Amino acid sequence: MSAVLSEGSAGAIAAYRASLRRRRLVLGVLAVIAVAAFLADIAIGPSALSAADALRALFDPSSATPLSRTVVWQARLPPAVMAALVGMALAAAGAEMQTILNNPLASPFTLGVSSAAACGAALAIVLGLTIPGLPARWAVSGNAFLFAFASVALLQLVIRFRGAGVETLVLLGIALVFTFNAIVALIQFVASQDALQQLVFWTLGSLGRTQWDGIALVAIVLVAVIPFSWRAAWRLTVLRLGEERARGLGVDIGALRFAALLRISLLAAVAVAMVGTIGFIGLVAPHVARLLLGEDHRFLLPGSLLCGAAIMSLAASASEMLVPGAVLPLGIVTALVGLPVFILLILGGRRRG
Amino acid sequence: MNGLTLAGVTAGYRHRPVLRGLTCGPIPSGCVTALVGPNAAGKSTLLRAIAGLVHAQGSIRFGDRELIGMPARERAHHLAFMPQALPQDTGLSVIEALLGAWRAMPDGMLRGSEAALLNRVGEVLDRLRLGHLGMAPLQSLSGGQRQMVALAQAIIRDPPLLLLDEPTSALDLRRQLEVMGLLGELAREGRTVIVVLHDLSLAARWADCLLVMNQGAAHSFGPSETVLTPEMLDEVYGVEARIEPCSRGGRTLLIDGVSERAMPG
Repeated sequence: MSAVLSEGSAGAIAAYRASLRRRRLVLGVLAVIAVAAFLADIAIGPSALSAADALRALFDPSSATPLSRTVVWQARLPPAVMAALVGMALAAAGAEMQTILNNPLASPFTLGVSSAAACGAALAIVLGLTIPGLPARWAVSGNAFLFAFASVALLQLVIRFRGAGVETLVLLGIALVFTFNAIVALIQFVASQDALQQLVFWTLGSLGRTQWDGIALVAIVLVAVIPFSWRAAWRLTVLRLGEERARGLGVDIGALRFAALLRISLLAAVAVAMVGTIGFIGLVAPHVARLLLGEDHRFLLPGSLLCGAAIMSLAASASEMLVPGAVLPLGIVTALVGLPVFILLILGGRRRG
Repeated sequence: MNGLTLAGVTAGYRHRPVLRGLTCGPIPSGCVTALVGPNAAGKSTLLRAIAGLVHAQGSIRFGDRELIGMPARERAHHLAFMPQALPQDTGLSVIEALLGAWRAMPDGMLRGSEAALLNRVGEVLDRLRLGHLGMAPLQSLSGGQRQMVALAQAIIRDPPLLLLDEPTSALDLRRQLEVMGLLGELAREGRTVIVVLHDLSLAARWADCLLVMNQGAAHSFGPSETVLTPEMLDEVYGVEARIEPCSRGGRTLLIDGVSERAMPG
């Protein structure tokens, strides 16, 4: 059955091949942008170090002054690396969440991951309830991770046991959000002034606490999880055509959703545990990637990773520049800077479509 | 021989059985079998039960294999199911949708080179005259065009058993005939084609066999000439009808009105 194709089909397939080349190019450009944004994040900072000196200290430490070496390698590099990694984790989680919930407004935090993490953090900060045996430095992050991961695991269990669909999942997630918010409010009500301030600062999201072991943890989770997302790329792509259709094509939706939620909860929980709640990246980065690359997940997933890293690095730079002399909490910046960009993209995309 | 034999098939949804011990067959390979019957007779449920999308009991044998209890990944090699719902709004192009239908198959990532697969996509596009739409995003297509894409997705894997739920409901007259002709061709190539049809005239004219369903059971099964009778239409559909010879050969179905007797339910 290797008949000669008609002009229309041959033309369409040639156009498809061209679109593959174009999208590979877009991925390359995104990678360059992500690296540039990362370098800009290192070059820009509150201390009086010129951008050129900062980059020289990064690439050629022996020729830089000890002071600039210290500033770059100990003060600027860890938060910059963390920003890029967390951006990737949230964007990858957001892309998968939007696909499995079949909702472009979904984000890694849709099902209550961030509320659960805040609840865990509140318990640690205000009431001192922590996981036994964990070093004090890790207490808040440990709690946040445990709660974030456990909340999604609980949802998983319920839908697995009841065989419920997407709507039930979302409704239960919303119920969880309100439950955790109520508990956090209760804890805030009884908290001391000091603890309250600490908790509020934690929930705003910040890179200030970054340590290399935390970076290693996020990196390990990313490296462990992303290959599985990649393997599921085609099944996720087909899910975009509708659940019933995907099932008709032999995709085990239950297993696909279970595995995706597991990946999402790992990525989102580790991100929120390390840097607090940083909204918007997980919503916007997949959108940008989708506008640029389409819905084929072989491109959408890596595109989301790169967009997430780039947007986070830019937001981190902005957080150091917006108010001279102060570093704003990153969560505020991602929302402030991300929102206009997002609205422009949506309106631009509408016009084209 | 790739016939499909159903024995005592019971299936349905929570607290609501739809099929009640349906027995039928063998539904032969090499011909198009239309599944017809009034609303809520269980047509879609039967198709979904064969496809493994609803829990079923009893026996569904395809050739010498039992489909009930077969893991989804193995079942996907034997059959393709086209649901009634049209593909939803998505930015995926027609070509991507077809590639996905192949690649999403269990172990599909490993089979065949990209070039060979694209060639196969081109053949299916040509067979359904969709070539000019190859790069169009699904969300820009009309209902009928989406239905054609859904059909293309079902046939691209070339499965021996094709299950299609109302593949012509959104199509204009000419496309309806083209699709039914194509299904006949696919059947002649040795496949078993089972298709739910709402339009009895279309079924009578184009299907080789009819399986008439009523209230979750098989009412009658056989060549359309023997199955499609005024008595059946009265009994199953509750209408008074005539089957008259057509001036150009073949037979036409004329519906005169509702039957006198009261319908159950």
